[in-house]
Amino acid sequence: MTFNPLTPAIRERGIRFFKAIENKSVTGLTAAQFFFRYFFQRLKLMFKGEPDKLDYIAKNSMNRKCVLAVKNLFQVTVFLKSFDEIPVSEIPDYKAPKLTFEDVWIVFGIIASDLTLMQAILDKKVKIDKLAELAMIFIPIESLNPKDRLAKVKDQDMELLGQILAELGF
Amino acid sequence: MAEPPETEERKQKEKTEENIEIVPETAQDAKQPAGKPEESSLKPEDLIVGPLPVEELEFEERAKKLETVRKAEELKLAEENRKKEELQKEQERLQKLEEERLQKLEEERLQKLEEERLRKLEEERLQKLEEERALQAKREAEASVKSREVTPPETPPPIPESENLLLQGLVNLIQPALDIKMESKMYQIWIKGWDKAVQVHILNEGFMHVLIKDNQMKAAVGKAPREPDIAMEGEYETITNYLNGELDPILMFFDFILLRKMRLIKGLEIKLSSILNGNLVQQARILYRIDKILKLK
Repeated sequence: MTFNPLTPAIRERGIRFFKAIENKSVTGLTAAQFFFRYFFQRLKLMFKGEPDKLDYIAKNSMNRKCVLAVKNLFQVTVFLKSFDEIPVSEIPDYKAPKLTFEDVWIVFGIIASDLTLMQAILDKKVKIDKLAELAMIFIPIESLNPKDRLAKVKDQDMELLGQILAELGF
Repeated sequence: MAEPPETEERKQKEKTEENIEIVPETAQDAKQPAGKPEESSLKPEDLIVGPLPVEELEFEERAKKLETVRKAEELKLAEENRKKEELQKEQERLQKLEEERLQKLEEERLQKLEEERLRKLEEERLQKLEEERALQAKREAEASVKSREVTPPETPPPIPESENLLLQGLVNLIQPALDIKMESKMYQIWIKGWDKAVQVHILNEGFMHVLIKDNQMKAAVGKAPREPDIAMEGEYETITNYLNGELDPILMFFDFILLRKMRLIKGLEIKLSSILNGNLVQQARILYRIDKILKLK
């Protein structure tokens, strides 16, 4: 799960958004939708002009469920329907793999590329339940070496993040 | 005896002064004593001296009439000008509105054209991709038919790309964890001087290995390049959950020992001789460290 470092302006807006999540003026549903929408929509930028790769990701990563939780804040179930359609429900699915973050700023740190998901896992700031199933979502993406591609579309990536934040009013 | 002309003139003047009828304009003027005419603001020529001649009155009346007519004309002209200005302004406003409307229509038309152009381009691109894909599929099908004809039947079929990608993804997940762990002094001390190959066989998927050499740890897809020191085998789900530390250590022990979900094929020799010469303890110690290194904890 690789992310580009944020530009100062986007970082500031992101901080405002995450503060709103922290003080519960933004719901967990919105927060989860923001995270997954950004994560999957930027794949379209990264693999632009390579529909076979996008098909491969869609085939392997989509139509799966995942629970996203932030301790003492929210727990939601995300259904990955397509790159653009990611419905979120407040009803927890106990069979689905689960990503539990110690606090909301760990999520921000990962998005802002201040730390990697692996670092957070090793520092015990993120707990994964049912990695095998969760990996089925992320492994197809990781297998396509997205890091180099991501750096190439940095400007568009920031534009996308800014656009999603703007849609949420931040 | 004839009077001097000066005396006659004075008399004439006095007569004239007697005939003058001073009409006081204000009460103040009326009260003013007659002996102080110099204090009055009126000059002698301002005083009305007798009735004005008829011609002069007519002239004045005509002048007044002319003045009135002139003023009325001026007013009329001003009114007309004002109306003209208003009309002009209204016309300008309408013209501006019309221009704006036309501009907006033009913009909309251009936008529609642009959208149409983009849609056509997208359609063309998709069609092209579809054609390319069909061509590629045809080529692959032909190639596979040819290869089936050429390759001998004993050659094992190549591993499908999707499976390799799954293993590659798993390696991409493990490698960053190994890199982070190598920054820790404890792990650096643990693997100092090691030259070990750990091979993991994921059933129905393929092999992956971790090489620990020269104080470095490298994960890769495929079998280990040399005879592995430790070899494990298991299903994808079990291996992944093991890497995540989700398997209970006690159950894991039984899994290893009883050869159930996960099998330790190589790395621990439970023999009487190895217990006696202390090899078993040594092997268990290495296994413990490998376990800690591989786990995402």
